[in-house]
Amino acid sequence: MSHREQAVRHRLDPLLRQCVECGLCLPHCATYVATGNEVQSPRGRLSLLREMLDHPEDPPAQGFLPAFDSCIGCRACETACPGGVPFSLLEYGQERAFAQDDEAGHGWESSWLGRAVVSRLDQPAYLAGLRRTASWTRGALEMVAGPRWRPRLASGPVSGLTRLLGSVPRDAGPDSALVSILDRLCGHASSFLLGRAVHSPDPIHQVVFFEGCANAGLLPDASRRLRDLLQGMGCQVTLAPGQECCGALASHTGRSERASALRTINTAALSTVLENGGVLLVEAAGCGLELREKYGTALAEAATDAVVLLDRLEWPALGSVPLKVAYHDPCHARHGQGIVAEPRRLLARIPGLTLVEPHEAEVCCGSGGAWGLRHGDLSEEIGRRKARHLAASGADLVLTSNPGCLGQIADGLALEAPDLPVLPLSDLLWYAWQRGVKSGTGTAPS
Amino acid sequence: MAFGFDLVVIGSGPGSHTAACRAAGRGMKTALVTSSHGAQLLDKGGVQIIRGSGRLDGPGCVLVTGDSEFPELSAPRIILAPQSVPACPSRVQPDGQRLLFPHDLRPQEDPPSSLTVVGAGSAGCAWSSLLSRQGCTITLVELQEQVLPDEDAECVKVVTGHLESQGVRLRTGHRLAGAEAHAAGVTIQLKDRLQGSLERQEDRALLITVGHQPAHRELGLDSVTVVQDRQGHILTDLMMQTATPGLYAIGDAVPSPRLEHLAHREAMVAVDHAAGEQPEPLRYHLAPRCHSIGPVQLGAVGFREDQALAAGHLVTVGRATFQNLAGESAGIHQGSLAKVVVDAETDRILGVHLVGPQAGELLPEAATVVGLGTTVPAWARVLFPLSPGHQVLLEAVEAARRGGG
Repeated sequence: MSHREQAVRHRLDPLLRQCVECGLCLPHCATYVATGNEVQSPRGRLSLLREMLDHPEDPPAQGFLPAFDSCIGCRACETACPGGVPFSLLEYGQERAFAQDDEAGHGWESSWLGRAVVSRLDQPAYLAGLRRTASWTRGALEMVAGPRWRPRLASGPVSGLTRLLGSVPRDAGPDSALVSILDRLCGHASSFLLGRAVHSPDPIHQVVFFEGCANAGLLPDASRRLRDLLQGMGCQVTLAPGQECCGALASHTGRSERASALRTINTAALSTVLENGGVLLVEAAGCGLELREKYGTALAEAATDAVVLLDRLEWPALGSVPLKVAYHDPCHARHGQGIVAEPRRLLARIPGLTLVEPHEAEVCCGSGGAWGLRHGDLSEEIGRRKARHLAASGADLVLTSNPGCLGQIADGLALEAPDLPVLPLSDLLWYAWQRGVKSGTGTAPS
Repeated sequence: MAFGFDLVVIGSGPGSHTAACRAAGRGMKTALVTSSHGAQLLDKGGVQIIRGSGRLDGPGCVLVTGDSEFPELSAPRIILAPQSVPACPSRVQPDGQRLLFPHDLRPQEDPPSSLTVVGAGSAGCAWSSLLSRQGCTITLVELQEQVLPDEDAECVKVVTGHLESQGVRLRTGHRLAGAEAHAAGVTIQLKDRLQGSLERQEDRALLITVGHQPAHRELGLDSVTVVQDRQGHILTDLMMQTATPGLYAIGDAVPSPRLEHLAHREAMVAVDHAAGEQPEPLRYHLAPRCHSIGPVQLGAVGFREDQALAAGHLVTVGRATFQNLAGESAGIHQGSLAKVVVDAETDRILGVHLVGPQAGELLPEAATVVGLGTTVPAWARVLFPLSPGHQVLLEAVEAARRGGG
């Protein structure tokens, strides 16, 4: 056994022994819930890992690679575990699986999908192109196969492509489009368009905006509305030049060198702006977790999820939204950062709104960023299950706050409950705020 | 008519008194709805004690059953601090006679002549040691591979030695497969978790110490928005606030480790936040814990060696046993150990693990150095009054300074 392997064993053994195979994690694991397959559960994966560590000379068991490759990395098992078994064990297994995959020439980089799509997913310009292409193609499919093109083309020769198209997140578009969607849903007489930025005259919070790649590339309008909302609420939002993707996508696909290069770039770009303290506002939960766990203390401490910051602000009276709403927690917010109460408290500020909690609320939606591209069928199965639970909750509107979840849930709903819309949480808050301003109860626009 | 308060605390769980006192001390008009009788003293502190059980009736409203004077309360801030109930393995139906929780044991009576204790956490180990010293034959069953599963393996070995020397039979890595009460006692089946082999034994009684579970079915949580995990714990943010604005949950109601000193601090955070401040969130991984088992105590704070490694630190461990010292003549038992876990790159102390007769007394000092993020050379410079236990700790710090051992 090499020295390194010995060190790894020394590190992992006591943690592995904490798993008593009680199975309390099973109902929280999206892949197990969807497949009922033990090796696609945290317990099964850990027992494969134990086997591998016990027999370091043997090649890993045949099921090792698919078992770990199928782990979405949602960390729901970590929250559920009464024995405190850390997710880092599964993360280690996943690293090993990716390394093995690369040796065998099946890694992300070696497939056409990996080269063409995954390795460039962290570039906002590329994502913006993907968004435009997807939106154009969806329009074309709608003309050919009707508005319900997605369930119609769910099986057959183009199923993979339609799935990809279905799960590329789309935002509501310009303010007027969002307002008309929500007006119709709420039964409001059409609001006249208020979509201009309302700046609070004296900003009381200094906020540096971490753009990330997916929000900037895929949901530019929603991202802009979030900034408008923050500015109206008394924040001065600055964009630090020279930021890149946080590196989460690269590390989740086993490209640690790329991830570490991105970390260096971001640290350089953000350290000076955050020198005197301040808030680094993070829109996507995945970026937030990456910043908190993989970056130096200064950035990790400054990183604040948009939902958490919004919850801390003083809100004016909001316009009413008489809807039943289900909020889907992004896993890297709920399980990674413990953000559960904040989004619901934000929604509680909106008059007329009723919050419903669907069954299996804490289970992952099956997006997992790039994971969903590689595990199309399983991801679709998990997404459909999530969509059925959301529809059964009686909600009129689904909200979430992560681009990956938004696309995945939209796709699941298109298949299972096509009339149930899904929107970013910040979009609904923006709408309620604008209606509050309009009715004269909120802060007056300057 | 609803009686208006600034803040209402519901429950008699850990942290409830702290919350009520602190809120009253901060000038808030405070009520504590409690069924416990230990709350009289708070009356003098300006807390309105309302005897009965409180139930939420929508955000900001509390209904009280059992007190006719204050049937209905309203407050913009409410803190839930209910008690939990002992958890029980699904195969066992406790009857208070043969299948017992610790509160069923009557101190005035002799303990049963033989007893199986299931669950070797802090309570399980303490009861096993106590009862075996009273002449009871004890079998201690634990699903994990060591007793006190959350603690450092090396320190736990010392505890295990003490338990075995007291005659406690240990069955770690075993699951309780069945327990049937009959006239003469209990037939207990234990299953080896890895081998799968079954073991059968007769005892006078079974003691259940597998932890606690939340019990807030009576709290009226349906009338507000709260998110619960599948055990029923209420999920909060770092300020202990739930998904309903102004509603807080602390202590046994939330999923944090069940330690009384944590509940007190959670109460303080909740009250300060309710008063409009942004208190520092609790750093749960730095919570000290102390287990008393017979003549020894196991005290620990911060990371274990394996946790520190998993968190990405390069680790040095300084070790010292009481045998190293002349202090042995001062009447200290053999089989004591101090471990200091240090980040090898920065010299910062990440964790301290102690087992010995005075471990609990040394714990505040350990908690201070770990909590402040002190380095080993800085700790080694501090002068302390001489005590045998402290000398062991110093030895361990010295060992860490020399690069481990």
